[in-house]
Amino acid sequence: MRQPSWQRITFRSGAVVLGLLTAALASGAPSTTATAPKLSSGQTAHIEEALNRLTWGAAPGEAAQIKQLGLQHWIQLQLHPDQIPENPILVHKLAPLATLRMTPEQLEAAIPPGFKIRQMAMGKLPLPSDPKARAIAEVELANFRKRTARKQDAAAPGNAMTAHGGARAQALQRLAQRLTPEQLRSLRQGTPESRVQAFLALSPELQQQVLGTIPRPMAYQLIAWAPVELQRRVMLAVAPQQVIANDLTEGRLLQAVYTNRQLEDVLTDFWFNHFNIFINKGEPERYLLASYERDAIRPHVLGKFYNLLVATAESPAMLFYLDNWRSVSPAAALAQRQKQIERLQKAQQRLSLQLAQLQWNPDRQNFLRQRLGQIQARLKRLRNAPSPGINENYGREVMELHTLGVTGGYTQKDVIEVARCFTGWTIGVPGTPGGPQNHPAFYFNARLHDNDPKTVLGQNIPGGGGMQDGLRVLWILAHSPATAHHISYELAQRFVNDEPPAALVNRMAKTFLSSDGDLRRVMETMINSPEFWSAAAQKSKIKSPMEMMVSSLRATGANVENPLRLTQLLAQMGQPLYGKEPPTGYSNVGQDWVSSAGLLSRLNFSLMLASNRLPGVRVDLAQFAPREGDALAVSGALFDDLLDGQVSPATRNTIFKALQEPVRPNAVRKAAFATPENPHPLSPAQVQLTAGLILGSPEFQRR
Amino acid sequence: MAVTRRIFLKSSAMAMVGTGALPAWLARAAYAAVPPGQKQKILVAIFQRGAADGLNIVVPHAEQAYYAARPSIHIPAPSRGAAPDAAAIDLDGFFGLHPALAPLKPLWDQQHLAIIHAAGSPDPTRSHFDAQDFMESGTPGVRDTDDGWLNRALLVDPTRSPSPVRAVAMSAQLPLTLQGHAPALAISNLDAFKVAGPVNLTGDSFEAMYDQAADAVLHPAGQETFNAINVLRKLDFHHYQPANGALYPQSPLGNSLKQLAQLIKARVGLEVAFADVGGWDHHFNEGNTNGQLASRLRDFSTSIGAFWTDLGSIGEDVVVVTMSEFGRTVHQNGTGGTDHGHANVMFVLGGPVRGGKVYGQWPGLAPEQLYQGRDLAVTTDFRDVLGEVVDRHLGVNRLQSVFPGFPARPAAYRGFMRT
Repeated sequence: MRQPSWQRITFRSGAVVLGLLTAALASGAPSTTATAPKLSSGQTAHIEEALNRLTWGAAPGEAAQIKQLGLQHWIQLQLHPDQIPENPILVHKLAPLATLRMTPEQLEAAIPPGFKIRQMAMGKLPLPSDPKARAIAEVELANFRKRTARKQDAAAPGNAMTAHGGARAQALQRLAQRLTPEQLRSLRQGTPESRVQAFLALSPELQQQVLGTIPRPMAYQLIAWAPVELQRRVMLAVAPQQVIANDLTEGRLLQAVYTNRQLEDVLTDFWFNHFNIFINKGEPERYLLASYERDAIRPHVLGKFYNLLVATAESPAMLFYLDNWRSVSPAAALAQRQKQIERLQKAQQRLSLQLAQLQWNPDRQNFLRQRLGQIQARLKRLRNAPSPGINENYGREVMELHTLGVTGGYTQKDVIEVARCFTGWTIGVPGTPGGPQNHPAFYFNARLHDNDPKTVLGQNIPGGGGMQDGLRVLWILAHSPATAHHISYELAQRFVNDEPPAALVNRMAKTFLSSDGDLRRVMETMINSPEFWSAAAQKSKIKSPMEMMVSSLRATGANVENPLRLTQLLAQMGQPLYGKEPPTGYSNVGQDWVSSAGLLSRLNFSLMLASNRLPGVRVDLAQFAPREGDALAVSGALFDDLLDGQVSPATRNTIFKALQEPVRPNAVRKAAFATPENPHPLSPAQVQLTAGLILGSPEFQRR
Repeated sequence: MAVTRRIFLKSSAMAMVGTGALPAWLARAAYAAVPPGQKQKILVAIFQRGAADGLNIVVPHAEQAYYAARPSIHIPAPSRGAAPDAAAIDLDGFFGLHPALAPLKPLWDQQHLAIIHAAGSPDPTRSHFDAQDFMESGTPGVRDTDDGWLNRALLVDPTRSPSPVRAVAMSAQLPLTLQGHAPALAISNLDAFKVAGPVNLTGDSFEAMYDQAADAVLHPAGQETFNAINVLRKLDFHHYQPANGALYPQSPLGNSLKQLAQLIKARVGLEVAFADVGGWDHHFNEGNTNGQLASRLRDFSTSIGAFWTDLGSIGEDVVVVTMSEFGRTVHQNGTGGTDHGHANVMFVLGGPVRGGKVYGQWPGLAPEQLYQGRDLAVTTDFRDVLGEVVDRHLGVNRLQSVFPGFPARPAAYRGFMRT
């Protein structure tokens, strides 16, 4: 079950990757027209800079590959990611995360959302016929019934705890009936790894039975150390909807660590954060996010800004997150409601008439009375419902955050006018009244659109434009100088400096305006600028927690077998993936990530990663540390490999000092290979300590 | 828009080699915990991020215009016979608490809870981002202020004992409110606030590295962190039992306040603290006595109620002040929610508070009384509320340094602090 050691293939197969890259270049990759940095003397330094700032961090051997390829060619390839063959390791690791490749509709069929489960529980919807989907639905149904029962228990005080504890004991009892005492013991005791092995040693039938009865705490203990496939099987057996969120966050991390299209991935992170969406806004978001990032963000990060903006505006994920799906023209909505009321009134009259004529048939009369009661109740609800109308949320954020920026010169009046332009841009949300489709997809509901003329930022939008109103607004916003400046500023802030030079931002904004918002050209302007390569930009940014974690994993050539624990750690470090609630997203300012809590979590992560104490992650430091040589040689090799040798004398001395101390009083240096020529080699524990201290050093916190 | 929020470069000499400031061990030796018997005044600031709907939190139930503006999301006026959770809890015949705030009613009755209504920022922005920055920096309208009001309050009197845990935010990141020249910690989990592994190898090495680093940002951050670790690591935060039967909810805010109570009781020199709680931006389906806002308020009130219960007699020296960047529209919007508005409500509670009263001047909800024709008008500047608290409670009276550009004016204090 255990995978082969991937890191060798991942990062050490430079020749293969290089060959593919060269082939791509020969087959007509565009050559650069702009002036790239001169690379004669400081070429190596420039390569380190490029890796630090245009990727998630250097992987072993990568600098050498780029040197062979030429930095300019490498940059051009990164700007044309479709010409870079994807890393087969990534493809392999993403393979089990099936929900990432589904449409929202497919996802909903595979793992039914809550509203469908409620309908199934009430008998209003049949269980899926596909056996896999049916099994998942059955787990969810059982969970739903348990929750309902627990709620009822909780209503009777004092009951909840005992009932809950009782269920757990019962589950254990059921397990005991199926397993031998040794099997049960080996599943409940021992190291996390040995429990996984014990589970995998069971026959497939027994495995299924165990998953069917396993108490949740036991399941959660199993999954952090299990390979991804087993983690998903366990989760599908106990909490299927959690698999959607896990696939998303785990996939995101794997992509950052392993993709060959590094710049595209860093930009995907940047633009997702720019158009931020929160996974827990509501259940639909969970079903929509994979498609949002895959279909609305990633394909456009080096394309035209207008297309990116439209893709997000039309995405069900954004329409749901910023509430626009319910924003309607008050007049149109009232007219529609009036029509409904009239229809119901007619039905009411018809039924009353029939009732009067049916005095001889009491059964039929009763039935009609019931119908009449229902209609009257609906009428009452409709008449008492609050008047529908616009919601300003998207109208404001599309200007403040997505385009113009907060100082971009719009007014409260503009917010309302923009919101009016987007009335009728909506989705069918499952389980909600007014959701006409059974899966959330974008559509324009012309009947709920405000068709009167509007004025946005001084520009007249004539009446009767329908969906064109919203598109016109997006066009105006995408071509505004304020937007060009705002976007350029943010990109430069991410890639160059917390306070980017005004001259650079202005040049990027100029490119933005003259190229119809071509984001690849804007990136080229930035990368080809003297400011990008200036000393002021070097190591000027503090890494975000995500950047810190991914760059550590890449630097150590880590083999991430199960990213679950890493994604949880990232949340503890203050940057949960897809977990930022407000639309502002995470800060682009590196210094904002400096805090005592943040620093400590980095130090502890570094130590755990280097000493292989993180579940699901394996680091092989032997590939860096020479077997021979003393502390000086070994730590020197680690400085070179993990930190490009850019290490301060203070850090160097501190680490040497730590290496003079015995690591474990009795086991010192026994494990190492002392020879007459090399009487004081480092023990594996000392190598781990050295690497942990390097990853936690001040130098490694910057990029 | 330049945003440099942190000011780490205290002196270039120190930044270069770590000299010029006290070495870590000396700083530790100089600091002594507050001796038993001596009282430490403590201020806790709670930020409700996302613009909480003040009109449904402290409800003007005597205002007909309130009910007219909110046909489906109002809180019914208190009435005899109404179920306790189906209507506002009357405070003074005009205002009432949202029923989900019932855990705070005992504090009101004991006159430990004061309410300031129609408070807020004079700046007209309706951007969460700007308004939070303005409130946290304490400088409405000034975008490039790079430190927070609570941090500046610590700088006014430099003779105070510099405990390494004098200022703490319960979060992974340091909020702008506490950024600035005075050392301030961010702690997300007290129990895990240490470096793993044998301390002589890991903790000491990292401490030395950051102490000697020439990094103008990371050097002071490391110093602050390790000074605090050296104070906190002797304490047991793992086996904490809240006092007086206090029950904290299992929520981020409940967890933050529980840990703050631990820190306060540990008597390690905590003076100002910060916690925030999100999820208040209810554009859609806000609910009324039940629903989204109600569940946020339930968490808010049970967390604060538990904190107060847990503190017991220590509460005599503690003041909690709550704020949110702006209020929400008087009228409900077309989707059963409210959009970005202007004035809001602030709570001040604690021992030295003259509670049981709604302070401030009620501007009214008639169309001509509304700010820009749509929002509750601001009649109390939030800086006058925070100013009164730092002045009367912490004894910081040079308010012009805490709120630069704002006239210090004790005459404008609402008088909710006992003097």
